[in-house]
Amino acid sequence: MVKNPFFNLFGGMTQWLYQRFSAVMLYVFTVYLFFYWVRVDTVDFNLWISFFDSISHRLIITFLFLVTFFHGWIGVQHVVEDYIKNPILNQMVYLILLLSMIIQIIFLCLFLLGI
Amino acid sequence: MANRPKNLNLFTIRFPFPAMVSILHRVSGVVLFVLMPLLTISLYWSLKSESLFLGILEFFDYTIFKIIRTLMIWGIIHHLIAGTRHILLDLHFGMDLIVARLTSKIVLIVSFVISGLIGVFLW
Repeated sequence: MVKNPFFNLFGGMTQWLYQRFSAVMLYVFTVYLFFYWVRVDTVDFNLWISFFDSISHRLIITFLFLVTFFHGWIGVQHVVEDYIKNPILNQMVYLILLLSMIIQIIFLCLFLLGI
Repeated sequence: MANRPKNLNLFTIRFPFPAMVSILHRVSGVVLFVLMPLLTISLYWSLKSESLFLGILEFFDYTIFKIIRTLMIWGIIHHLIAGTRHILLDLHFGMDLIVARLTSKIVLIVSFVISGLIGVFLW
């Protein structure tokens, strides 16, 4: 078994529990956002920008993305561990996914600050 | 324990319905994780200016991105519904083999139907 060199978050039991807590959080957010936007007929730029104008909406969305990364990182670690046996390939996949998350988190910070 | 034989070769395993739900839960999760940058970065750029916003809408109208878009919708819906079933199983609901098989079929069908409907509606 190839261990993830980057962050091996917690032990198995904690991961199991956190995965379910984050799942429930994402569930609530997704359903809320779905029912918020499904009532809208056409989304134009002004409506779109006014939704993200409020800092609370930006905070919620940023938090939603961060929880998604947390949940996704735990999940994808298990999949990679199960199916990619070659140690070099395995570490490269982790590195690529980690870099992708870091870049996205930078974009999210800019989004949150409204820059 | 360490040398116990393992078989994770997807091409030699026969898939009953609960196994299909489980593997598609993984597949949808990986698909969503890998396609996340598309969402994050288009969210960021869509707020910059009206022309960028319209540009992103246009971008998502190319057939290839329509397919990717529909795939992501299926991913979200399957992941949500299969995840609900998973949590219910963790809480010991629907543990009987017959019930578990039935719910796995329901999950597969419902997620395909709902995402198909949304996909057609948005196409």
